[in-house]
Amino acid sequence: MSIHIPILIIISPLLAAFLVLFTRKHKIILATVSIIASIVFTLTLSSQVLSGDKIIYHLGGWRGPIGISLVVDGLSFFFSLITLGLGLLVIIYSIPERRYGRTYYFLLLISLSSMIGVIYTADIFNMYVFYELLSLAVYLLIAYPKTGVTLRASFNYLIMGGVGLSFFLLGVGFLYAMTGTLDIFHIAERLPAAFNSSTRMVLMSIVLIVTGMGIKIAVFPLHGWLPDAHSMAPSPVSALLSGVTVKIGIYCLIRVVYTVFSTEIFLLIGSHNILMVLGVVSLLFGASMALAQKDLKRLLAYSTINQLGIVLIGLGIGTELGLTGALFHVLNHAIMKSTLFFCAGIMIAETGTREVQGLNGFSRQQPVITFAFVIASLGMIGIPPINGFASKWLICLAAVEAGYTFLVVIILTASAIAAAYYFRVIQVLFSGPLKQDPMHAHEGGQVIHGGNLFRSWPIYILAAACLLLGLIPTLGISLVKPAVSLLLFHVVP
Amino acid sequence: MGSSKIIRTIAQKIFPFIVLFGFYLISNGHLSPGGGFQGGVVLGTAIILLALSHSIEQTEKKFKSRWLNMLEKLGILTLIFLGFLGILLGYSFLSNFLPLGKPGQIASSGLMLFFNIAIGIKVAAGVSVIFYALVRYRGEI
Repeated sequence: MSIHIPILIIISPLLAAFLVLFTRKHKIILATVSIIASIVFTLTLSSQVLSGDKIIYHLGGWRGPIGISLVVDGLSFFFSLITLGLGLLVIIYSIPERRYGRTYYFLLLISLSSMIGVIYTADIFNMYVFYELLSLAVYLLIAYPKTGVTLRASFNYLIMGGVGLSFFLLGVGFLYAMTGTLDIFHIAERLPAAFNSSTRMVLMSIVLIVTGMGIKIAVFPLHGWLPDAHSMAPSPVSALLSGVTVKIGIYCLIRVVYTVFSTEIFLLIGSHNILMVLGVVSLLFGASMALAQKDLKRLLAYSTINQLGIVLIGLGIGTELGLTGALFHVLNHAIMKSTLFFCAGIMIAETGTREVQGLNGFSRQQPVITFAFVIASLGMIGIPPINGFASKWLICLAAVEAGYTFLVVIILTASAIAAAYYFRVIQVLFSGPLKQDPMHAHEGGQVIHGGNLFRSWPIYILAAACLLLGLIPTLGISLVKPAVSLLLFHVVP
Repeated sequence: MGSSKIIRTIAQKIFPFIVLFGFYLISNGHLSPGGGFQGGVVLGTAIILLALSHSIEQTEKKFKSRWLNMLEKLGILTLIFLGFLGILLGYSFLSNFLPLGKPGQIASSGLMLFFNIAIGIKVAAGVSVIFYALVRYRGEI
């Protein structure tokens, strides 16, 4: 049975997703149990993966370029842990909300299962299929409240996401035309020869794939869908979108850039400069747009663009330190941003307004939630004892080492702007008395208890993780190390 | 609905042949062009044709959307279950554990036929359920 673990990790949420549709009472138990089972399966692989093994599973017993295989190595293990961990917390956070029916959990489980599929598959076309499945589930999750705004946001994302994935598919088509195979590792073997004979085709496929994933990651000129989609979705879904779904795009980018096109080709073309420029532009743009927002969740959504810029800069620098910083920042951002969105969900439910100005006096009402919010936003700014500092520091070090000192200046400027907009929210939280009644009716005409066990515990856990990773960053770095050495040297220490 | 008697009669007469063709596509998917999805779409179209030529209400009485919903989920669950059987019998997920017959016969590709049937049922039910939903929510937002 132990050989089959990679497929069981994908199948367990998928099976639960369809079983959820049959039951009315046990939907939450089924969803939670299936995700916990997946986490346990993943953790059983941890010793093998972290010691540097690569676990390969052939679907249907077909090997190599013919069949589809699943690969669990350092990189995919790291991303799948983030996905499953946050997925579990998102499910727990959505328990108290009665409006979420069977369809909600169905979509949530489908999206989680297809995320793991994107992460584990070694077949680049299969990656596209899983990504499309993930996107479809996510479009529906955004539109779940069925109000006009969410429908518009979801439709906007549908169009943009569809275009992005078409670009990706076109790039995959070019790769297939050149190498005659869809298996990532076989493409990587055959690509250097193809690069010598038809350089332009390789260039074209890189351009198409980076553009397609750029839409999914929301780098600056292609970000149009993100602020609407991430801010209009229900709060747990926002946390999932900002924390995990965007990271899947980053995973695909890393996988394609560093594994399919080897690092040598990548440097030869000079694409790392493009990644860096995109990173810098979206960093500054996200920061300055977030500064102008009045809507709390919209501010957080623009902050996502800002933080992903930092990750792209780390990837663009491409040295060992830079990659470590970038991957570590992926983990940190996932934790911090989902804390913030969870907190924002409670704040919006309690005060009944999405405006930052309407949050007066929230700290007196919910001190612990406010504390968690403050921790996570300090992490976002990059203040020392919190985890965001550690990864930003690594990226800045890498930038100095590689001779890009101006990047440090830009990152620091963006951090200062981030400080401006987060401190504005924190100031409002701590100032003034609350104007409304403590228990405010939600849009659905239903009272939500902010101190609910299921709502607050995910936040406490995530805030504790922020502090823990900030105080002992080696924990996170040791998780990232196998992935980095795999990407750069194709061997594991 | 106001479709003429000719259309209603022809649709009724043609219905079993469309269903037959759908089943043919599903069951010969591993031998000739076609397969579970294509056959399923043809089966779904048969139901849509009935709904368009006769009234929706009449068709929904025959093919209840509750049952179609159930069939759709059962189709995918059958597929996953068949995949799991591969693991339980000591092969890998979705691998074939049935004997391979003589090439060219219906029973010649092990599990493929059953996969096609499961997919066919799912797609047929799915297509008709989507059609029902589109018709029912016409004009609303």
